[in-house]
Amino acid sequence: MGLELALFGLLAILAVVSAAAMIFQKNAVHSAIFLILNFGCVALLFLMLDAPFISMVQIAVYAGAIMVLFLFVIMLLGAEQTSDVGTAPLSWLPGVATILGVSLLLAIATPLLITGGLGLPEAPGADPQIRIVHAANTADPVDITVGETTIEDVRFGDTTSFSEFEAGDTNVTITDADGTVVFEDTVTFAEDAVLTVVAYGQVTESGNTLALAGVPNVLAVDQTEVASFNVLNVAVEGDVSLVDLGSDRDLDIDDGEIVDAVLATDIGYGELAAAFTLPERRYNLRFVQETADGEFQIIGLSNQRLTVEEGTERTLILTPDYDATADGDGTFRNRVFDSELNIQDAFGSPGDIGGLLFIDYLLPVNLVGFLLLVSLVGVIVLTRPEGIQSKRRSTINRRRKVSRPLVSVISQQTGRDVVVDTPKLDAPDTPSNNDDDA
Amino acid sequence: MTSVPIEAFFTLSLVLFIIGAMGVLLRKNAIIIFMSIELMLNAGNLALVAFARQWGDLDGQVFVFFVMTVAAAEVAVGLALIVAIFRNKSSINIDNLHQMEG
Repeated sequence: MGLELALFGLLAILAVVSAAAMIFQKNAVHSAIFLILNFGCVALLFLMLDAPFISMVQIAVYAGAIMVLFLFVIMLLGAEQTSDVGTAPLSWLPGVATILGVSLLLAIATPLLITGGLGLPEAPGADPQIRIVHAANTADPVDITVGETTIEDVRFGDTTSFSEFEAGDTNVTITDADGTVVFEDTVTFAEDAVLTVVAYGQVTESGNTLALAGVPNVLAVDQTEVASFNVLNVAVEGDVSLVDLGSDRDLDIDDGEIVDAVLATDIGYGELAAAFTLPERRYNLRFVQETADGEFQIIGLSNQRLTVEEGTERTLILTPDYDATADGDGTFRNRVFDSELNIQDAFGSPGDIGGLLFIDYLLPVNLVGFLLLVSLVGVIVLTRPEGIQSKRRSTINRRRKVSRPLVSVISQQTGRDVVVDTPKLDAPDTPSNNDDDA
Repeated sequence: MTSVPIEAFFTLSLVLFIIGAMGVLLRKNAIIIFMSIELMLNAGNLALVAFARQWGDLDGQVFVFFVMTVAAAEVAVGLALIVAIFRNKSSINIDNLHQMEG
């Protein structure tokens, strides 16, 4: 905190000093350079305010393009030195302006100091994003209702996509095909949470053991060199471990200990292992359970090699395979639910602002483009070499030339006097003849 | 997330805006007046970005983007005007530009 505050103080002082120097420099070129310094400070402040895109635009457009244009015009006109003294019909203006400026500053700053700040609330958190995985051993598809939303016909293994729900206490209801409520509970979604809600358990005639487990996901991951893993066991009672077998297919056991790399241990029923990360490569992952007589048994993820890509997040859920004939403890199938890492653009990033500009603000963007076009034409018109006035004069001149008598034009062109029979020229007075006919 | 309070950014933006306004009122060089206007626009942008951060809402930053675009157009036209005036009057001191007084 101290460092950021110190950085802000440094930048703020630099910005104010450079702004004041800009005002009081006699030389316009020095003023422009101080203004560039000021824009640079403000760009760094934008960076502190989570606005990297605006910060870069500030440097490129303001400190770059616009200030180059200023310097160019100053040099073009040779207007570096312009005396501010001498012809001053409003000699009282500087004093009044200073008084006005200081009083405006006091008028806003004093209440701010007295009340001790603007008293704005903290930024509200984002809505939680929830997806639902149906890992319960139910024969028929079920309907899952979360709050106001109902997802129909969810089969075993179905995964919904992430969608936003309101934060706070939410009722989750699972009804089977007959409309019977098989599960009902209230869960609390925190703000900013990204959750995978796993419905697991069994629905049998004697009753059901449905439960919900929440797997926190990280949709926006800063470190992209590793893949992060969440492992959930909803299949077997007792502790299981996740083991990377490496190149071979068998579990290497020495002295009752697993030799292969153990990634997560002691995952009980309905428990979530602590999230861990793995570097990018192929893995040969197995769920392993220690049996009562001290043997280890591979119980899941057989014949499946997992290629881990960096920047992804995987949620491995060990679930019992749905088999109508089995009792649920016969065969196990491991389902790997992958959350394709949906990297959310960070606040203020080019992607974030670009999305907003081209979806919500498309019309204003077009209008601004049109405005730029109009200003382009305006600049061309304003800075034409002839200027507006001389253009009009040349039009008048041209008209005057044309309106000279035809005879004189011919005589000038041919270099000879034209013998004119005046009545003949006047004779073909067609308009009046036409009028007579009408 | 930065820990500098929004009041600090708001006050800085206020100070910069007032310096810009003073520049417009005090200086006679049309180009420097123009630069002061840019300073005022920039101070407004700073406040907008600060409030956008406070509310966690990107609309403020989008508005800053539009302000910058319009400022670019304004600078182009304004400097063209200054060039045109300089060509006629051989001066950009605004005290020499009082034709409207008659």
